[in-house]
Amino acid sequence: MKFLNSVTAFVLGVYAQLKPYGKLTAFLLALFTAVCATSTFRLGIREDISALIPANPPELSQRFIYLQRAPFMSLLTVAVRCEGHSPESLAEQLAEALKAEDPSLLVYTGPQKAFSVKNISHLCSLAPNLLTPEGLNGLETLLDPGYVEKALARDVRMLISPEGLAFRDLIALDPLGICPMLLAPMQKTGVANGVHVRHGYFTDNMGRYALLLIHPQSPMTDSTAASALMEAIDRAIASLPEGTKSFISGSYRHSAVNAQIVKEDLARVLPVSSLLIVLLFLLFIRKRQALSLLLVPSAAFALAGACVAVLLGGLSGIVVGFGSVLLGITADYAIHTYFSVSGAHSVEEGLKGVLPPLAAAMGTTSLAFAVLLFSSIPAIRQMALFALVGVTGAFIFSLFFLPLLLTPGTLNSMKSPKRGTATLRTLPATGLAVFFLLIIVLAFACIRTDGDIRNLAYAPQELRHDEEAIRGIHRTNGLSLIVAPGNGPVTGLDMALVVNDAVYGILRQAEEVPEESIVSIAPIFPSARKQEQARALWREFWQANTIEISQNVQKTAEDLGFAAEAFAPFKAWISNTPEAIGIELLRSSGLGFLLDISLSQTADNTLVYTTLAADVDLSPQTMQALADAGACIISPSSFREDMEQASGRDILIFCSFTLFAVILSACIAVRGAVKSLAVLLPTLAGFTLVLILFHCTGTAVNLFHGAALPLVIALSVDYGIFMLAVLEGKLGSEGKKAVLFSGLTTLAGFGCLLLARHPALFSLGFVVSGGIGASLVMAIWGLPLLVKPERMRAS
Amino acid sequence: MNRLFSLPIFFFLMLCLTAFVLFPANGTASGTDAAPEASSAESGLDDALDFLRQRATSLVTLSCAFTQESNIPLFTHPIMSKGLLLFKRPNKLIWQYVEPVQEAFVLNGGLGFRWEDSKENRIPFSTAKDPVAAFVGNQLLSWIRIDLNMIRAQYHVEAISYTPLTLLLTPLKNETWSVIRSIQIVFDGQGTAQTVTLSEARGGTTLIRFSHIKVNGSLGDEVFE
Repeated sequence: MKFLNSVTAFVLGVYAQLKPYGKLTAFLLALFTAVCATSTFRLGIREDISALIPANPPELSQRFIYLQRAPFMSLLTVAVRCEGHSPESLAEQLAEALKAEDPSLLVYTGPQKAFSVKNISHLCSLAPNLLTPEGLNGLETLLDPGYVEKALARDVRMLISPEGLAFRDLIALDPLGICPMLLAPMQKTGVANGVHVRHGYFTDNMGRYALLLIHPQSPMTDSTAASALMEAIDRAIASLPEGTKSFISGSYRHSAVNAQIVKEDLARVLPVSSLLIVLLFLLFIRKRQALSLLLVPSAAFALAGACVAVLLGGLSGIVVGFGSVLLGITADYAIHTYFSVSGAHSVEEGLKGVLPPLAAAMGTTSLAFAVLLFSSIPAIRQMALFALVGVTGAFIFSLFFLPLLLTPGTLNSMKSPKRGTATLRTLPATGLAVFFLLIIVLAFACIRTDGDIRNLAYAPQELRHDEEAIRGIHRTNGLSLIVAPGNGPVTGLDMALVVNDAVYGILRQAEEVPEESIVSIAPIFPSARKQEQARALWREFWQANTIEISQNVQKTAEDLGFAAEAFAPFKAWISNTPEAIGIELLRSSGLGFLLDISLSQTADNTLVYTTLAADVDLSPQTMQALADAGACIISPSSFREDMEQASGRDILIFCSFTLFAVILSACIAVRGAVKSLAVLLPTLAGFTLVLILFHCTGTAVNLFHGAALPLVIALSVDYGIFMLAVLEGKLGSEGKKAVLFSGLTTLAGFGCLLLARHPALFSLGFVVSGGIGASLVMAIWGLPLLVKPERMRAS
Repeated sequence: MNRLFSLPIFFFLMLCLTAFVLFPANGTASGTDAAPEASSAESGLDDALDFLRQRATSLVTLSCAFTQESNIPLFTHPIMSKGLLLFKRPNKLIWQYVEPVQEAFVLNGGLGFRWEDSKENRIPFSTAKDPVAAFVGNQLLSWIRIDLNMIRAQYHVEAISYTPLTLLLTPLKNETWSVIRSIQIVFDGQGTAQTVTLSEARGGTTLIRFSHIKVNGSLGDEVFE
């Protein structure tokens, strides 16, 4: 009480100081709003799905980061087909058109475009780095004179044929066909699951569709770049022959589509909610000074946006959409202040009357949002900070700035003859509360959660159709990833390759894994340690066998008419130690594509990816072996399950904490368990209706539903607080109208989200509209039946 | 994988050998038109190529023998080989060596086979799945039809003589240039290719002589099966 008196005195003191500067204050507030809004938009509003991923457990968050960085996952797949045109010609045309649109775009029409005579010879000279103990068995056959005779006879045949023109150098370097032995594992290296190669071009297995893999340079989360990219692709496809069928799938398309729909939703929702609020203002308050009320939610919204953007380095588009909610919330404080001051004889009297319930409402709402700051989901933390700053800002603007623009005594407000007391009809109130709690507990037990992150994003029918078509063309049901990490800017790559070697070895040993389903760079890019082991094997073999094999080759070569120095390159090759295989060397040998789809490097670490068809079920032993090797397995189904568990856990925890925080703060604010029951009935009613709606519509609770449930709890308690103040006589008769008006403005803000097509925004609107609507009904019509404004009896 | 990069060279040779053999003195539907005389360098070359293309459109079947002399630095002496070439419109082809090795490449529509030493040791292929075979077949057939756009896009063609007509083809692409420096083809007065000489970047040469050319003769489908 003392504290409240001090705060009241402070507020009145500030009012007295600022009273002469009313209009100037209004102007400054408007300017402040403009500056904050400009800062927010300049810092950037983005659509980043990683904000929806729970940070706990840490493994889940890490797996999502790995998923985001997977190069193959960030590839866009374009499938094209046109009757009368070969897939190869379509691929070439489309690739040229794409390059014309954006020369920096990496477009893969096939895997081996860069192969040349020089590349093959170079790769061959480095092949000893790929020698394995199994490959050593193949080298033993070189000791057989019969093998040498057959090999050199084959060389003669090759040299006579026109193909031999290109193989002169290769035959001189490797007359015995050692390179194909060493490079044999490379032949088993898939390109990508479900992608075939025909005439050097990627196609489906029937050779009907040309498949182009596009590797954009901008990050997937850059929605502006993604939108620009999709437009460029559309223009390039439009340049193909008439009648071309095309399908596009990939994360960039999702980014672009979601960014566009969020922008459209914001453009639809914000003006409609603003218009509805203005109309409500005109309906309930037909006085010009009521326009000043609009300053408070605008300023609060702009302040909240600027603070979040500055503190967190940007603002999610979803949180901006939530701003339409905040418009309704923050208007409540201005409304109650307006009605209290306008119905009082003086501004000071009005402020004294409204301050206690306003402070109680702000305290309970802030505490509820503060709980959400501990959520492991970044988007919910953003929303919590946004709401906290907005609510606090609205409180300050309503108390310190708005009264400067209001004229007291303009409303005929009647006050109760006895102020500050009321009686609760305990039995029916308690019975109702128990009834609500019972339903809440039962509903929670039956609730279904939806942790599928794909359902949090907008996916129009066209996009789903294309993805379905491309899955059909690929004939795969998705991919599992096995990630080999390596930390450190210098050593990270080799550390990752060491793990990758182990991963490849484990998968090849696993009976349940078909070899053709493994896509890995391990056969062509082993770790430095493995390459050194291979070179050691090579040296040992030739140290022991050079003389014998060279003599066989020399004799057979003479018999077949070869020149004495024909195989001098061969002799040099087996005598010298080749250099190690590195990234630049693989790129110059025409294998850059395989690197691009398997490697992700940052300044801090390197990730090497192996992909498997998603329908390969790894045994527990294989999974354990992979984990022991240091690899991380990401399968679509297990990721979804883990997300569901984590988000379900998060929802339950934070709903419970928020409910507890509200109950506690309500007890403190209204000082008494009995009175706090009256205050909490609207909250219980709203929460109950929402859970019933979930159950009746069969809706599974997603992350955004879960974020909205604490909002319902936090907001609805305000109606109970203000309605109790009206029934106790602390606020005049206009107070009930204020509660209705504030409830309708909040509904206007939330209800507009039902117009949004983005699942996140719609989920918010669905939950909060139902919850707030029910709590408003309970506050306006239910509480007066349960609370009598008379002297409180001693308990 | 190894065969892939050599395709452009192989095809270029196959196509040159096939295309410029197509115009014998006897048995052509278009009669015994002589090769055009050069009026100016560029128009003369255009006329010559056009003449060859016109010959090609009347071609239904072709059979001929060839001898090949390969002077390769890897060998102490030239390697002599013999073989035969068969073609039937629209898409049947055999390129076969008979001496000193027995091997062949046979194309029959979208399917075909290779064999070494004996026809029983055939290795079938499908152009839909074998990129080497597909490229060989497609390019060869394109050359038989004398696709001037394709030829001139990949090679510089120069007529170094019109009596007899002698064309010099120089690769435009570095990849091919690194292996072959030039190909010279000499025709007789009736437009029949007599010899083809490949000059290699590494100093070797391959000389191919054609003989027993028969155009639009009887050639059954069973030959290609």
